[in-house]
Order: sequence, then C-alpha cells, then structure tokens
Amino acid sequence: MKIPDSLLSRIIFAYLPFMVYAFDLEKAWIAVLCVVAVFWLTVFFFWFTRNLFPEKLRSEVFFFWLLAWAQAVWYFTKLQPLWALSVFFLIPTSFLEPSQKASRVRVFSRVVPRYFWERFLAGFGFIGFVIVMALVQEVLGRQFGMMSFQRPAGILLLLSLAAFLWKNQPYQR
Amino acid sequence: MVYSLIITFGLLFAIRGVKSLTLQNPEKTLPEVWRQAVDFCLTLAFTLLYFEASLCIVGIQSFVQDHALLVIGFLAYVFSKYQKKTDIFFLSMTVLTFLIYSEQKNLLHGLFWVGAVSIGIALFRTCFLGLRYKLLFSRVPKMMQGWPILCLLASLLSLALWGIGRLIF
Repeated sequence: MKIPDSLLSRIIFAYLPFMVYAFDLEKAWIAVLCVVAVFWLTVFFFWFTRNLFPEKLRSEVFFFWLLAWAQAVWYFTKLQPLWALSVFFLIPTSFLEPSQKASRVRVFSRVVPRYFWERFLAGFGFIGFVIVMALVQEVLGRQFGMMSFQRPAGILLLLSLAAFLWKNQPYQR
Repeated sequence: MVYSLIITFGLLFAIRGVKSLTLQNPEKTLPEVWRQAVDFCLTLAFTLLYFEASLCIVGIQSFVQDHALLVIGFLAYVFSKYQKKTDIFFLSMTVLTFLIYSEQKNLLHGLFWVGAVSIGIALFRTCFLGLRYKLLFSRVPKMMQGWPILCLLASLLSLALWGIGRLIF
C-alpha cells in the first residue's frame, strides 16, 4: 500500500515548528506526545459534537479549542505553543467544512471506526517520524559534531531526504 | 531563535502563503510578497502593543497575565478577521506574538524582533520565489519533484542566510 502524498505534506508542515528550538530527545518526546494527544482528542471530540455548533462558527470553535489547550499546556509545563501549529496541520479539517464529503457522513456511521483508525495511525506515524528525526540529529549533531544538523539548514536537508524516500516508495504488487 | 523563526515561518508562508502567488509572473509577485510582509509586521506590532496596553489596565492585569495566550489569540483573531486573512496567518500571529512577548526584555526590544522577523521572512520568501522561478526552466528529475526539491532549496537558502547573518551581526 502506498502512503498518500497528502499525508507527507501534513507531516512536513507539522514538523516545521520543531525547527524553532533545537529539541533534544527528551523535549522532542514531550512535544510530540502533546501534539498527538491533542490531535486525537480534537478529532474524537469534534467528530461527535460538530453538529452542536452552527456551521459558520465551527472553525472558530476549533481554533479557540486549540488555543485553550495551548494555554493549559503552557500553564502546567511551560512548553511554548508552537506545537499548536503542528496540531493544526495534522488535523483533517474537512469534517468541519460543510462543503466537504466528510462533514456529510453521519456521526455514527459504519465508516467511523475506519476513519478513527486512520487518524490513530497518522498520530503514531508522526510520533515515529519526529523520534527518528531527533535521533538522527542527536547522532549527527552531538556524536559526529556536525552542528548544522541542529539548525534549520540541516533539519531541512534531512526533511528533503525523508521526502525523497517517501516519494520513491516501492509499490506492492 | 530569530533565525529559526525566520526560516520556519518563511517556508510556511512561501508554500502555504497568506494568498497564493503565481510563479509565472515574478514582477507582480515580488511587490506582493513585500506588501504582505508589511501587513504581517504591522499586525504583529499592533497585537503586541494592544496586549501590552491591556497589561496596564489595573482591573484585568492578573487575568491577562494568567491567560496571555488566549488574550493574544483573541486580539490576533480580531485583526486577522478584519483584514480577511487566512487561518494560518491568525495562528502564526498568535504563536509569534506570544513567543516574542515571553522572550523580550522590554517593549522596544519586542518591536525590534517584530521588525527583524518580518524582514527576514520577506527576504526568505523573495529568495525562495526566485529559486522556484528558476526551477521552472530546469529539468528536475521526477523523483525529486515536489517536497524533496523544495526542502533542499530551503536548506541551501537557510544556510546562505545564516552565513550572511553571522557576517553582519
């Protein structure tokens, strides 16, 4: 099964805020767990409650939900709210927009388990991606002394390599 | 940190910009990039100024300090809606204002960072646009088209900007 290119775009955009701070492995773990936890919670919450909000206000509610979580996480852990941008890019907002097909699916439809399973996998995929990037930066930056890999220039080079490998996945026949 | 902010948000806006810009006509696109940078700088500055002003109101000072991100988010939302900007603009504005507020020594220092980040983002977008325009006339291998070549361009550009920045500052 070839992983869709749209997921690559979302993962790369979601990873960009991690470039602002040279996260070490421990901070990368905390930030990515935060991103994925809020991502899953947001998908779950908005799938079942989206019909409670007026159509025109759904995206506003979503943004203020995100900011409320960012404020809460800042209050308890002092983690900068850059991770909220990552959540925004990971979220498939199609079900909030009335013109999209996903928003016309019934709340308790048969496709819901598969939908949640795909979002669950996307979250795990993002965790794996961030940890691999952090490990590579740790090895190249600290062990081999190539400090460029702890700066945006080196991180973008690694992203380029990851995108190249993703784009050239072998097909399964 | 300013350098990392410039590269991150520069790339973000260059690809999912505040408005989509055409590559085929750089003469019209370049002034638009700098106009958007001025927009961005002014909105960021106003959000920071209004937030600092709200901190001076005695009755709500403690509320504003405890809920800084929500207050900044509300201000950024109002400014973004008024200018009919995109969701990414609003979120970026909120995050950047909060980051600058938490790292600044005083208001003047914060406004200096606002100017530096805005100019840096505009410079990055200008150079990135130029490189993408040149790519239109190059034969990029199919396996490198899309994200691989974009990330590679951004990496080389950020390396160049880092070198220039270290020479000047």
